[in-house]
Amino acid sequence: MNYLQPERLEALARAYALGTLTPRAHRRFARTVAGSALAAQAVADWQRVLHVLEEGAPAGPQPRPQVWRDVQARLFARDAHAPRGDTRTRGPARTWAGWFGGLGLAFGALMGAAVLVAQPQWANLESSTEAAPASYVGVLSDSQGHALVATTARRHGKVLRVRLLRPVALPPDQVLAVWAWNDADPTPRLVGRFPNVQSADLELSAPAETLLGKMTHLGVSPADGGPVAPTAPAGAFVAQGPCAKVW
Amino acid sequence: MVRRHYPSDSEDLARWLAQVALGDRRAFEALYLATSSYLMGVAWRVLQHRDLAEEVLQDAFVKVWHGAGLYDARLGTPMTWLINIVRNRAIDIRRSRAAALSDAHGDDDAAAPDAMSSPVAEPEQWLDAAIRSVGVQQCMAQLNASQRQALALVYYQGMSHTEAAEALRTPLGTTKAWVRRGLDILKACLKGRGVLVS
Repeated sequence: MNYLQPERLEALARAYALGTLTPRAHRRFARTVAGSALAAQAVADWQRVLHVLEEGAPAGPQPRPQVWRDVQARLFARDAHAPRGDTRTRGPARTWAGWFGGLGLAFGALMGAAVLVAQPQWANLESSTEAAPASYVGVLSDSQGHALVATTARRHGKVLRVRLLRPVALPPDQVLAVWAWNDADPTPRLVGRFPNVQSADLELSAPAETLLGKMTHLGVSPADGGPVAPTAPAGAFVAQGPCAKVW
Repeated sequence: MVRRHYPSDSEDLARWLAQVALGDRRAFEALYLATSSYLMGVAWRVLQHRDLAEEVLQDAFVKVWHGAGLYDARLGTPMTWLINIVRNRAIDIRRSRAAALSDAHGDDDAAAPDAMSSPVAEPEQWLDAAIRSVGVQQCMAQLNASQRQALALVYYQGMSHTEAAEALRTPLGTTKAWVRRGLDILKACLKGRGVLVS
């Protein structure tokens, strides 16, 4: 059968774009589309018509944060050995042991007794690691003074690793933003944004030593997840606290 | 009625897709943050079930990660490409899990369609809203009631022609004709009014 005969092509393209072909016919025509610019264009024309039908349609429920975590887990869970300076977000399936291995002793020292008392098993994991490289670390607390966010970046690295020690309640369409400031200039400066997941890596625009070395405080605030980066925290910090060079 | 709008800047989406094709996870995250809410609506309208819609969204973004290099800007906008992925997956799930979906709707309150911030509109109203939102009410006026109804069921709810015919209690051939004619009228009208751009 010649699928490219104009009338036939138009009918098939319409049904293909609409999704009304039988699975078998759909697969068959998909092969035609893949191999024919004419067929691909015919389908694209109909997809543009159908796209219009999405405009103004009512929203459904927002996707829950777990969806993004699951996407990451499916794609990246096994990638536990990304290269240094990697800017990519980590999947949630990253293990506690693996994570702490990356942080090392400097982070463990700053986390202090409170965390280790609460989670004594972590100490065993820490003891098996080698000394960590020079790092810039912070432990941020919520308004009740409870540790909520841990951050670490290698001195010359361009990645700030952020770890939520407890879940943060956040509307699904929002993300979290990390801000930094110092005592001399208390205006928060955006470090980066990350999805409301247990662990994420933020790309820094310069090595941590340059960007964060003079900063004395970090804060985490809710932020819009859109493509435009915020210039100031949109609301109160969900966590903030001192940070320090450990080198 | 609550409406969702995705970023109008297709250049951002196209750039992120290109970066995703090169394995850039930050671009992938940006793409997700910018489009997931909107795409969730596409899946939800077909499935009317939050968990399944989220499953579709998850599958779709896994596919986007692996197939971003297949996006061809000459054939349409990034959002059209993304909508197509989500909608096709939603239709697959709708058809392959029809029985499970029926059970969930009928027997399991926890899995019932989620409450929205506005009442659930009928598909025909969604069609009307879509046409109004792009300012081409005249196109809607060119469709008769049967065409609107059939088209709305097939498009928004991902029904097959057979399902739509059963829902409308009309012969299959008649339903097919309504859908086909309705789409042809819509396409011609939208093109005539310059709504369809490459």
